[in-house]
Amino acid sequence: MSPRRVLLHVGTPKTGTSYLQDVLFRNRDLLAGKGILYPADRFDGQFLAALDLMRLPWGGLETEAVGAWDAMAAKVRAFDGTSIISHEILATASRTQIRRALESVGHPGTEVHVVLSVRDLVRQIPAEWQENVKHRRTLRYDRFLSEIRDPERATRLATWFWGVQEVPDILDRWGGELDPSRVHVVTVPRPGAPSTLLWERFAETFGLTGLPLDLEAERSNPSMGVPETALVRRINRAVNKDVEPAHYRPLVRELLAHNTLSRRTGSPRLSLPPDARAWAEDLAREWVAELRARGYDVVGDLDELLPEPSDAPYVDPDRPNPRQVNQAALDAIKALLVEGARQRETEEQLREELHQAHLALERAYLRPTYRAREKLVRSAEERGWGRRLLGVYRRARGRSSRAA
Amino acid sequence: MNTARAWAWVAHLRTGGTTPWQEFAPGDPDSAASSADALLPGAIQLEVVRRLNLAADPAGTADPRHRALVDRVLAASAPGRGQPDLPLVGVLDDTRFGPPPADPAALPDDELLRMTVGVLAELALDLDPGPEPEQRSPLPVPWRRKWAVVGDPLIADRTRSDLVAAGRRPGLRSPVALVVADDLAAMLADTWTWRVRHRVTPSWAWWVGHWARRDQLPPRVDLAAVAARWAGRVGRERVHVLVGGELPASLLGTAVDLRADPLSADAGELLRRVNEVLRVLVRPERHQRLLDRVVVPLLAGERGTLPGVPEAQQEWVRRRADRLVGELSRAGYPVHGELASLRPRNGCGPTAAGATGALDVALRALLATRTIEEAR
Repeated sequence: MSPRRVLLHVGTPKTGTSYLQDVLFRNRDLLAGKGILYPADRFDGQFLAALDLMRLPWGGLETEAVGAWDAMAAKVRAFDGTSIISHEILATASRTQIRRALESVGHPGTEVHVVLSVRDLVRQIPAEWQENVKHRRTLRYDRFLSEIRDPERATRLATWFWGVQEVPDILDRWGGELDPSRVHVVTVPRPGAPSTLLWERFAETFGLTGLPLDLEAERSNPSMGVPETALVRRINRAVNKDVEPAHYRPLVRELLAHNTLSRRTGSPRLSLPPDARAWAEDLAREWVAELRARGYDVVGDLDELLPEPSDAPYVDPDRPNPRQVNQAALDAIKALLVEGARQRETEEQLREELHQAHLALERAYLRPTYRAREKLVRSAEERGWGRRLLGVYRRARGRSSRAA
Repeated sequence: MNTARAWAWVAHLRTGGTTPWQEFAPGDPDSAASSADALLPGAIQLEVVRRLNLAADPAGTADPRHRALVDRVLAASAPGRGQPDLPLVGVLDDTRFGPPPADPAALPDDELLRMTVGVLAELALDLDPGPEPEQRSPLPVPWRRKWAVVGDPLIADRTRSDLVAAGRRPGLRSPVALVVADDLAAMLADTWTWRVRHRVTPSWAWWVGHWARRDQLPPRVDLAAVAARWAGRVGRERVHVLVGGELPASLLGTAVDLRADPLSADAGELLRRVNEVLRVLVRPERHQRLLDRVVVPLLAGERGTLPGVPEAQQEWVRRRADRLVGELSRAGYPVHGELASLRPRNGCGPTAAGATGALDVALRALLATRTIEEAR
C-alpha cells in the first residue's frame, strides 16, 4: 500500500494552472493506475469544490457546487496513494476555510503538501486586469492600478487581487500549519525560457515525471494584447446591460477573447507604466527576501519573481491606437458573423427536424381512438377523483403511461 | 500583551459585552485564556458579535444559547466576495503581508451583513425541519364553484389560503378567475418580494431596471395579459378584476379581505442575500423549504416600508400603470374597486434597502434562532 499523500495546489492564477488541470483531468484514468488520484468527474469539478468550500457565487454556476468539496474530500480520504487537488481560486480561502479543507482531506494524520505556482508581479498585474475585463468588468486600467496600489485595499477588486496574488500572505494562510518542507513554491520561468520548463517543474512537484501523459492541451487561458483588451472592455460597456452572463461567457469570453482576439499576437502586449513597474519591483524584492527566509521548497528559482529589465515602450490600454482597435474589431465582427451563420444553419436544420416531428405527430393524432383516449385522460386529469382513478389504473397496468 | 488584550476582548464579548475595541481596557489582560492553536477571530466576526450583544436583551446574553450563537459567529468565515478575515488593529501591527488591520467599529455595514447572512444561512440548515409528508388533497365539493386567484402574487397567495381556511376550496362548478391587483408600484414590490421568497437573487434596483429596459411588466402583474389568458379559458364575463378592498361574498359565497403578507424592503434585501448563500449550500428543493419554514418565519415581524421604485424608473411605472388601466377598461371585465387605483399613489415611495437596515433585520433574525431551538 502506498503512503497516503495529498497535494493541494492553491494558486496563483495565470501561472499555467488551466493547462496543468487540463492535463490532470484528461489523464486521470492513467494516473489512477499509477496510484495518483485527480478527483473530478468533470473538467471543472475541482473549481466547483472550491466554490463550495468558500461559499462563493459564480454567475449561477455555484448551484452545481452544492456538497462538491465534501464529496471530493471523501474520495481523497478513501484513496491509498497521492491525491492532487488544484484550483487557483483556493488562494483566497480564509484561515477557517483552510482549516476545514485540511481537516477534510485528513490533516494532520495524512501527509498534506501545499503547492503555489507563482509568477512575477510585473506580468501578473496586467494579466489580472485582463482577466477582470474577460469577466465583464469595465474598469479602466489606470483605475485598476490605483485600486490595487491603495494600501487600504478597500474595494472588492483590490481584496480579490491581493487574495489571489499576495504570495507571502497566501502561504501564511495555507502553509501556517505545515512544515515548510511541505510547502512548495513553483516559479514560472522568465519569458524566452524553453516552453516545456514550467511543465517539467509541475511534473517534478506533483510526482508526474516519466509518466506517459497526453500533454496536448484542450483548455488554456490565453492572453490578449493592448488593443484587443481595450476592445473587450468597450464591448462590455456596450453590452453588459443587454447580454446575460450565460450568453456573455460563450460569445464574448470564449468566442471573441479566447478563440479570436488572443490569436492576434502581433499587437503590443500589456505591461505596467514606469511608476507602477518600480513599485511592483520593490514589492517583488520584499517578497523574494521573505520567501527565502521561510525555507520553503522552491521548484525553479525565486529570482524569477524579480522582473527582467524591459526596453519595450509602455502602451496605455486606456488610450489604445484606434487603428489597431479597429482591426481587432473587424476580426471580432468576422468571428461573430461566422458564428451567426453557423447558428442560422443549425436553426434551419432544427426547424426542419421539428417540422418532420410535427408531421409524424399529426399523423398519430389523426387516429380516432387516440383522440378519444386523449380527451378522456385530459378530462380526468383536471379532477382530483379522475387523477386518483388514473393512478389506480396506472398502478394496475404496472408501469407509467404518462410518457406515452 | 496586545494579543492578550485581544483575547480578553473576545472573552468580554462572549459574556455579552458591548464595549468597542478601541475603548476596551481589560482588568487583567493576562487572564483571558486561549489555546495554542486557536485562531484569533477577525475584526468582522468580533464586531458582529458586539452588535448582536447590543441588539439582544441584556438578560438574554447570559443564556447558553446566546453563547453558542456567539461562538458560531466567531468561528465563521463570511461567504462570497468581500473583505477577507481582517486582523484586529493594534494587535500585530508589524505584519507586513495580508490585509491591513481594521478597527471593528469602523467596518462598513455591508461587510458585517455578509458575515451575518453567512451564519444565518448555516443556522437555517441546522433548523431544517425536514420534508413534510405529502398530503392528499381533499375531494372537491361538486356544487361549489371552481376558482383561480391570479395577479399580485403576494395578495393571490394570501387570498387563496384565506379562501381555503374559510372552507371554500375550489369545487366543480364552472370556474371564475379572480385577478387581484393593487397600485402598480406596490405590485412590483410584491412581485420582487414574492420572488426573493422563491430563491431569486437579483437586487430590487436591478430587477426593476431590467423590466423597465425591456418596457415589459413581469408576467404575474401584466394584468391585461393575465386576464386575457383567463378570458380565453373561462370566458370574459367570468374574469373579475379586484382592486384593493375585499373579495365580495357574491362571487364565492364568502367575503375575504384582499391583503398581502409583505416584508419590509430591508427584510427582502436580507432574504435576497440569504438566497445567494443558500444557492451554494443546498439544492433548490431544500432551499425553498428552508425559506418557507425557517427563514421567512424568522422575519415574520419585519413589516416596514416596501421597496420603492427608483427615481429612474418612476416615470416608466406611471406610464405602464396608465396603459394597464386603459387595457383593462377597454377589455370590459367585471371590475370590483377602482381601476384608477392601479396608478401609483403618492409618487412611488422611497427607494429601498441598504445594508444598514438589512443588517439590523439580520441581527434580529439571528437572535430569534435561539428561541426556535428553545421551542424544539
